[in-house]
Amino acid sequence: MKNKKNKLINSFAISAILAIVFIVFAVIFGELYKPFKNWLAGAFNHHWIGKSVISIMIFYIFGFLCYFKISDREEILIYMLKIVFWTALAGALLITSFYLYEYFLAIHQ
Amino acid sequence: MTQTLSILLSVHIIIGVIGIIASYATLLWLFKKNISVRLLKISSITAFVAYITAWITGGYYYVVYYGSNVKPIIKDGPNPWAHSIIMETKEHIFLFLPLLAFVILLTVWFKGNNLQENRPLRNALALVVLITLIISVFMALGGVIISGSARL
Amino acid sequence: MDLHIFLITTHLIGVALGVGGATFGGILYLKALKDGKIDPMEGEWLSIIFTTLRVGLVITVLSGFGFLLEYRMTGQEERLLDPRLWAKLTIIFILVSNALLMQMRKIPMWLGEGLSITSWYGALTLGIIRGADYSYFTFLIFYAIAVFVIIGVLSIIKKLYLGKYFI
Repeated sequence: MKNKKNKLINSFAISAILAIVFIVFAVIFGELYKPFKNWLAGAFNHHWIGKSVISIMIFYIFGFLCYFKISDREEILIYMLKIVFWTALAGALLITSFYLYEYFLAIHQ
Repeated sequence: MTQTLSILLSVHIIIGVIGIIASYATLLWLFKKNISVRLLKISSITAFVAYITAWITGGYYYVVYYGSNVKPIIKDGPNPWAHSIIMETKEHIFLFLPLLAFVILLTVWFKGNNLQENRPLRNALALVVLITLIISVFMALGGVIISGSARL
Repeated sequence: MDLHIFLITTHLIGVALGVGGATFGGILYLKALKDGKIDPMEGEWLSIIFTTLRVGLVITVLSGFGFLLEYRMTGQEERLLDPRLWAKLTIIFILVSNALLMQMRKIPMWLGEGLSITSWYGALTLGIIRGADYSYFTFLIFYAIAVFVIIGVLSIIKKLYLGKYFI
């Protein structure tokens, strides 16, 4: 009998990872390729609202979609939680490093 | 700043601190000799609701007021890095918090009874709570720097 | 009662509970160790004291951020970058990290106790003193020195009271 609770946690762990990866991508790509940031601002009234909405959509859509395919094993759950930790840490460091780079090192025309 | 914006900013700050306290309590209680699942459920749901509320209130203030009224002052002031580094980082890393808090909430509510016996599960959950706590603390400290640099 | 008075009152209550809890927690812990073990009743009293201390910490942190909010709303933004405030925030950060490490048993008791007492009294001192125009790092150097001094004093007290060193 499948453990539904494990499946749900695992699927939302995956979707959290995907959403965090999207946020990091959107931040860095948006700063390096202005049309993307402008598109977010145009479609959602503000680029930050766009990133918020899309990340939430990714989180909940993939959270429910992955449920049907994901394992219900406890070992996978423990592994996924650790991946969530490392993804969040790496994402935070990447975003911070990027803005530090932008401020101190990047040459702006 | 209108009264509505003042209230929203105040709620953002206070509820954000409540979120930090709730995340801290979750982490602390995970390492109790006898884990109280009831307390963990309360703290995890408090943290989640707090971060969602801080997100909405802070987001409204940021979109409606900060960009046109506060940001120019900071960028023209003695600490332009308070916007260019701190605020830019804060507004994006903050988006991780509701996601992480929801994963923690699910794990506590669905696997809470296993945490006492299953140490690897407890430790893995503690890592997620820890990164949530670290991020939320840096959000608060970043907010203090940004406010301090906005000499209106 | 205006907001400022309310914040001062709640902040002082939090500090009283925290400083008092840390002080009496240390004293009771010492008393409990006299016979070499902590019996259930002593454990219960210590648990109550540490819970009170944590309630004090929560009240202190919330009211402290209340002050920061007040500075923001009343045109006193420069106080948010005051080195004394940031030294206090750093000490509070050390205090809560220390409490977590003690809960996880990742820090020896003698160090955790020393950091706890020094942090509470350090934050109290920083809140009270006026006219101390030192840099952030100078305040932290004073704090670090105080940690060593307090650990030394506590170990001497333990030697005198318990008959042996706990380092």
